[in-house]
Amino acid sequence: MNIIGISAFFHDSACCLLQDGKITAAVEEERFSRIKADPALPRLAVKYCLDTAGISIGDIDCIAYYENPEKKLARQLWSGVLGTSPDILKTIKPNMVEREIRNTFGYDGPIKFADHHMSHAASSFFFSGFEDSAILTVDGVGEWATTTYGIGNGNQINILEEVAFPDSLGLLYSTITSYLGFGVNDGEYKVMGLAPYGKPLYLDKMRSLIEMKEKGQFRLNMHYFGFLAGNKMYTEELCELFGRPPRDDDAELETFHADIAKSLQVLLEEILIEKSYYLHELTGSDNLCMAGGVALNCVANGQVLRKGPFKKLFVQPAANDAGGAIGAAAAAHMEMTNTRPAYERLSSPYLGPSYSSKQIHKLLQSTSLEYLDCTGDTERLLAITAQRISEGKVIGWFQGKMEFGPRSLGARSIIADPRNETMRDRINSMVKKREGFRPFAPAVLDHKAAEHFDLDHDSPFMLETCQVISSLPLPAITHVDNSARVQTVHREMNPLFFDLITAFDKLTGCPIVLNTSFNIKGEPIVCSPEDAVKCFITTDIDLLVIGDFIIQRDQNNLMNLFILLSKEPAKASGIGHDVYTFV
Amino acid sequence: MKNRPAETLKQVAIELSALISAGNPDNRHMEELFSQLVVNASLPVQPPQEETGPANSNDDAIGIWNKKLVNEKIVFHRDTKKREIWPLWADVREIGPRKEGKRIVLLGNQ
Repeated sequence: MNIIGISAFFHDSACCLLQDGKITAAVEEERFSRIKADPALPRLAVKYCLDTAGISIGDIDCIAYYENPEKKLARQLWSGVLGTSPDILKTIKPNMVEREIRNTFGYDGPIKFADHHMSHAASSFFFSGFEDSAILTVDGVGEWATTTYGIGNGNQINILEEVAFPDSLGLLYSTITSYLGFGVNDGEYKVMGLAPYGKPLYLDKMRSLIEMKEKGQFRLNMHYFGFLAGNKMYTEELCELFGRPPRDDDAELETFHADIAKSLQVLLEEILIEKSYYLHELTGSDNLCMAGGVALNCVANGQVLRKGPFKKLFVQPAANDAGGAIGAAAAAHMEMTNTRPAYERLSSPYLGPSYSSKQIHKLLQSTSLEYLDCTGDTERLLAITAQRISEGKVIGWFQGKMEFGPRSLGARSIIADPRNETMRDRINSMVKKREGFRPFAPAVLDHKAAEHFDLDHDSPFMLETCQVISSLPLPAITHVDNSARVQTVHREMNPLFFDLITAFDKLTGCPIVLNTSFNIKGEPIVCSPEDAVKCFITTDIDLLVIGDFIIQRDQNNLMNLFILLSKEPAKASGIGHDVYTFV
Repeated sequence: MKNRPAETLKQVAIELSALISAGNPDNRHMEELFSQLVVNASLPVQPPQEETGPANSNDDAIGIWNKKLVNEKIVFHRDTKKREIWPLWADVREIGPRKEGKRIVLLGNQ
């Protein structure tokens, strides 16, 4: 049974291939198109999924789409986001999604549509390994629902209650994100990173934006929200409430902005914890599965687990809309076979393309780059890399199959020494070219994690934060509130990355490396060897470790290549950032 | 709470969406439903979108900076929509109001 899952047309479009219930490939379209958050139908991602399985579109039993276009259109018409002119009745194309899928892929088999939040729920529960679990999905909006409360049991998922648009925790978070001068749809994690620098001085005012209701319900005070008008997330009243105009996106960040971010983060955590108690009472399960864009808020996830009633939490690595592709495919599998797609927990986030040593070598041979060939001697490759990390060098690490989801987990990563005090500023300014306040994450050997972090369970997908308790100084990965967003690294999941950290541990006594995504600000994470080489040349990365090869900056004159590549115009983001991508 | 369409109109929207999705040719009925949504929902009226174009097509823009009136004085503020070409211009976020002294424009590169 071959099922293609697709999420598309709004943001973070993606595709997965589910074969007999097992995810064999999954990737975001942006990684191929190089358009950040690309909303287009994932033509290149589908091609990758088919190629990697050695099958064609004729072998596909079903294409599953991650939401219901008709329900979504109803909500859009109701909310007025499509406009007030009757001309729109002529411009809306009936069954656009189905026609686009059929025309683009030449596909005439069955197409199934799963509701947006059912896709989120299925993406989490069916790959959690839990026999039963409460399920909480929280995002901006799907069709009508913005939040759902459900239960998974064996091969069934029941959505028990939903909160409807426009009442949305995701849109609340995005609205304040926009007020703080960050882009909607991609700046939310910056707000989360800014929050620890502030105090919750505006919490009472923040609370006036949302009214808590019975059961799982809450209601936004639309006096303060402008997103229904479709051109701005907030109203003037919101600016008056906080007593300051919105921040321009390139203006200085002040204490006020950090205090607003902190107040928002605290409010979100309060609400999620309160509603998690309700969900626990409703379902009686000690397990919790979360999904939806808000489930990428790893700080809130950690609080829900620590302060809420659940004993275990599962969040899959692509908890955003990209992961809806997996959920839609899983729901279709369930419907077609009446069996659960997977009983085991998702064992690997490495579901994207990989490139052979031969392919990489061919690329390097076509350049003027000097490189070291470690083919057949992985120990040497690891020893040199570990040594250079310990010397304070920044490493571009390109190995094996690419991660699915927004986090780099040791396949397309930038790696450095977490003990180095200057490393955070250096990577932020010279490599990532991003805001200096944002923290980096640690990747730690699983069996040594508890010695350094207040964490009593695995965190392989870097979706939880906890306190740093290490006796080692770890300034480059410790946030201002002493927290860290930890990835536990397991040999069975990524042996090469595990062995690299082990080599670094043997050399230094530190079983931790700084791990951040291999990209520069505003660009998708690198996918191909070409992307990695370009990123290496145009940034301040010292060493590119790509497959069996090591390229060292200090042994190459990269100036001419840098000038050439710098003239390449950057591709614009695939989505707007003034409002949430409703349409 | 304002800015929130009536709950009762959800059924109207659902019916209209179903008709559109089915490719229903009865335009008159669809227009009736749509007018109910617009008239009764107090939908926020969207102002006409300002046209955006290249820098030289906008009288209120110089290069990457847009003209803004702040405290009744003209300032020029860097346009974030043109972020991609910021590196081609001076790294100046805002050009403040004109003062008494002369202002000199430097042209050229490198």
